[in-house]
Amino acid sequence: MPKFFIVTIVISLIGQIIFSFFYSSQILTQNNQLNQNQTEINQLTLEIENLQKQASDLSSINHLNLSTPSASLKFINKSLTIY
Amino acid sequence: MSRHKVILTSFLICFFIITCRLFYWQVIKSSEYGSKATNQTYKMNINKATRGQIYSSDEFPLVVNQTDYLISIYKPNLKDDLELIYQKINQIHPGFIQQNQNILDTFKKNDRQKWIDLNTFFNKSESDQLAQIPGITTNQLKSRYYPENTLAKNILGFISKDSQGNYIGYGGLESYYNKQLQGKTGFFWGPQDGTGKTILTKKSWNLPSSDGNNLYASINRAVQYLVEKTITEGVEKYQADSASVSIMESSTGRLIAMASVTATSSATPSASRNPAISDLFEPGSIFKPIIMTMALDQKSIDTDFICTECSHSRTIGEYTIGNWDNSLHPDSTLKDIIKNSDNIGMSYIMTQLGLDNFLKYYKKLGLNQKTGIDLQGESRPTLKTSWPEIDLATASFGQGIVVTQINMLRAFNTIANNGVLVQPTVVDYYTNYLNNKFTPKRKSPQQVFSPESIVKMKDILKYAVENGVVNQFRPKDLEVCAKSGTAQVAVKGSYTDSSTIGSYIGFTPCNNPKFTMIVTINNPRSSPWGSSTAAPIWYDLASKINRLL
Repeated sequence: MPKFFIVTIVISLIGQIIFSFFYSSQILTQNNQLNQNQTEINQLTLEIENLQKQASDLSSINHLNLSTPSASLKFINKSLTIY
Repeated sequence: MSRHKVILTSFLICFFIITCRLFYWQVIKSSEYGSKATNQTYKMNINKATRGQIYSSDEFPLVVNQTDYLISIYKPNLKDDLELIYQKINQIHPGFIQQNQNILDTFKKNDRQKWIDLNTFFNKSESDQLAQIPGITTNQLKSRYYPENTLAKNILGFISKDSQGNYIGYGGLESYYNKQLQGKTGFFWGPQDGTGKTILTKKSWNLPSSDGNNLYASINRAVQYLVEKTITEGVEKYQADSASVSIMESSTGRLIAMASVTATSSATPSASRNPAISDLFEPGSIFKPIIMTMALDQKSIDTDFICTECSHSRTIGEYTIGNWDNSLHPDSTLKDIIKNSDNIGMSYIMTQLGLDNFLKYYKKLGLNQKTGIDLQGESRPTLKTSWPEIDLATASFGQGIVVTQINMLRAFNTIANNGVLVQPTVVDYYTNYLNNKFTPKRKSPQQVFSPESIVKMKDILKYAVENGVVNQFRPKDLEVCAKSGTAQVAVKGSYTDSSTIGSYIGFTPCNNPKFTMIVTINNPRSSPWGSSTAAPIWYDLASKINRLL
């Protein structure tokens, strides 16, 4: 009878250790993943911000004006109607 | 004493000491160590919201956010000579040493100075490289970036830190819509591991930040560019102190463009001030069509009105009312009065209208209050309480009353818009972080003049343009209803001849107009008259804008 109790206690202890090890490693993995995702989001946000800035820069009238000789920016006075 | 007793006593003493120590830690110092432990195992992060962006009518971003990086150097942590560190930074960001020459020399020579913060902006990749150098720390800095440079700066406003170090908007849209643009700050509170990384548990508390709303303005980028370019050239050409232009969509009041330019020789105005909404001026003759419409609407006069007294100047008390060119126009009709910009004729129309009716319409047109345009810094025009006969007479040609440019534009626009007064607006709608659309609250349009009176007034204005001196500037394919004005400027209670405000206001075409535009030019030295300074600018812009809209 005491042997049975000792074996049960030892098995439960080992089970608990394995369970906590498995559970905590799962928490750690999930948290690491969370941190990685957060870093990636921050990087992507900065990248989007930078790309948007570059795109708007390149399509701005200001850029067009600076990169094109002013002679070609004269207002078009004539129009062509196509039927 | 037996050995047992000695050991037992020693144990008891140790036990007592430990108990005392534990009592000290756990009871006396409980709150102090408790909070220290919490601080070690829990962390609090503040997630600042990203400020909303501002777009033009073609959904082009006029204001975007950018992230810059600043660096600090801490001498004790450096592993290389300071001069070598400077060279390394200069390799990553060329021009760094040149930009900070003095401050870097001082930092190098002063052994007691261990730390320095530098004001040079670095980009992300430069910051990442710099962060690898021991002794250098980088800090993120959020700021605004304007792809169109200074375009629409009076409308947009700017952001700066308030007394508590938070960024808030100043002037224009940035200030008026600060609440919508700034968003809501979020928080995270929860346990962290030894390296400071977050551990998600049920004890975590997270309130995500919500980014600011994006504003979609009615400003037409191409028109705004044209306006700014044209008035800058106009200020130079007519040797003026400054000029302002505002353009609104006639039927809705949506602002298409608004710009103010100051001559480079004059003092630069504050960036948060927008003269088109904050500067009060006497409108002069551009006010005449409004008075005439009031009189027609009130049926004080009709189109068969003949000014029988216009063969001579009018004397009221000690004052004499004459015309701008000292000419006289006997038996003028309404069309002649507007065409010749006849002050004498207008003063008699005002007499027919009467003070009570004048004030009734003046208030209906909202000329004594702010227009409610969604821009920060609008001034409220004042209306005097006492009206002697001479003041009423001079008000008929726009002297002795003050308005802002936007106020004048809105009032004149009622003629364009079949007698309906609309609120000028800049923002069409804004979207939140979930992309839901919201429309700002507007005042509902009000019918001030009857459509019949407006038909008569448009006919008069069209005649005046096509038969007046300004017709030389009008492109043949452009139908225009407009009026020029030249107002004297009051200095210390009396008018001076040395300073005038030239203006031109109108809409095109006369029926179902696309836009209503006002041009004011302050103190033009080449010619004092609005018809030869503001009018050419107006027609130049109108012919170009007409093709763009």
